Amino acid sequence: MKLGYFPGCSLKGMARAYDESTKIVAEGFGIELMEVDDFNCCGALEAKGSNEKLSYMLPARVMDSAKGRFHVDAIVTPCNGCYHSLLRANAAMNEDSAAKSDVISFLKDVGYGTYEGDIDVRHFLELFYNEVGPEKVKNAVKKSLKGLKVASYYGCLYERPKTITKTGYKSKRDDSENPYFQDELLAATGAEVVKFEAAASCCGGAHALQDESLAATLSAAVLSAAKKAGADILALPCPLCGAALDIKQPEIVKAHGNDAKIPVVYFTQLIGLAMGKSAKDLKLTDPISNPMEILKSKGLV
Amino acid sequence: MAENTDKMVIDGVELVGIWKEFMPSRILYEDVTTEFLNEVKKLPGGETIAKCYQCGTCTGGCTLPEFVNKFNPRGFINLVRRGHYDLLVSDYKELVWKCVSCNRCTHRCPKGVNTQEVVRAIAKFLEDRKVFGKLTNDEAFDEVFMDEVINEGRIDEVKIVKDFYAKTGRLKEMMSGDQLSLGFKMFTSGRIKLFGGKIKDWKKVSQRLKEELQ
Repeated sequence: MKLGYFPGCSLKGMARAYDESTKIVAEGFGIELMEVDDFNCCGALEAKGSNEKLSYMLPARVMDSAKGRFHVDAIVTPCNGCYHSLLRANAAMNEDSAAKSDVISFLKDVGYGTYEGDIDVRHFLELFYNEVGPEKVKNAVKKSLKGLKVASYYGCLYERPKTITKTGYKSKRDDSENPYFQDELLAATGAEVVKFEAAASCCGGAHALQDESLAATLSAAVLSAAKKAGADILALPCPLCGAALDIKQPEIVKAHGNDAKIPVVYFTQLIGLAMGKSAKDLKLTDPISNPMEILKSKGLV
Repeated sequence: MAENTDKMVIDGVELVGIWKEFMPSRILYEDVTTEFLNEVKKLPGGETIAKCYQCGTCTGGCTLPEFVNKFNPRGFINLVRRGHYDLLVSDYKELVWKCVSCNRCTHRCPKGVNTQEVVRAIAKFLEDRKVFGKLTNDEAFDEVFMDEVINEGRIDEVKIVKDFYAKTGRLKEMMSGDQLSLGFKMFTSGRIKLFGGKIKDWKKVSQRLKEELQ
């Protein structure tokens, strides 16, 4: 299977730790990623509220580039937001013939014109679970994360909504109401995954700028639920949740107190750490919420 | 309801009670107008609104009611379908746009209503009718975001924040000590780049996207 890798805008900016740790983990387990380096923004939630056609054209151009240049069978992204946009465009291409012909004529004008809604869209977490899986992770552990209590957080758009996640799927998908792929992968590193009620709740990140106080309240609910569950650290698979829960954490703590103070990392950073990769390469010093302190105290870095 | 206590026997078991009135029958209100429904249907994402049968699964699983009093996707849809525009504006206009797009409603809807997009369409319907008297934060952000995507192809996080604060007249807030020290940390660690990645031939794509908007 040939895979195109679509990092998305965030991973080339503030969430570079996710981009770099994803590549390290993929390489370590023999997953070859062909980076679509001329990617454009997927349009996120803003395009679909503004213009229906554009909301299909933007993600379609990314998939067209992956297919036209690399002849991929599937495109993988580590971002919940990009994943949503790509799946949504794929669903429209398969269910709405008018949308499909608009998109195809757009791609013929500006791109390769090869994409017709016919490649699989995958989230890196789902791909990694299915192609590698907890067993192989367990066997590859060089430094066990034993003693580290992790809250495994998924965010919203990872397995929702079914109207688009059902379309064009060939691989085994996570449970949409009670996701567990990340839990099992993290448990395979030796870490203790705590039972955590807010695992698939919303961090409010979509309104992090438009409605700051509500977004902070939602984020605080997730962070304090993780802390209450006894977690030392929260791991996640989405750069937008990362921005909301990590970069915004100082503001959240200011408004909601120390109950919401907990280090936040990408799940790929913890898997990389268990593989024996260095904190520097995994950019574990990037998060504002300072995971280095707890990792040091557990003797992991 | 008392007169509805008719006897009913199923498989030899006699059932008593107000079984006919398990749910009160629906009344078609005389003031129903489909004018607003038709408008919402035409907006991006509004298409599936008429499929709703008012079961309330969306509101039951919604992220917001716990945090935002009276937030109710089922209720918003009901008001539009019954043509209660005045009530929507007077009591709910400040609520509709608060949706955080978690998509649990759309995911669980048994009728295939794209609830999250319908709620966004209702907010857009109100924005288009200028009921807010000013540009809402949501509209401002969408505009800034789409401008940047169409012109540059990619989103630069710092630029988008700066442009959004400028558009909503809050640039001063962005210059607070906390924000600046955060920005400094991001910059010195290399997470803020002054020159973002450029996409080859984006001008052509940009031109084509702009034609699409006309």
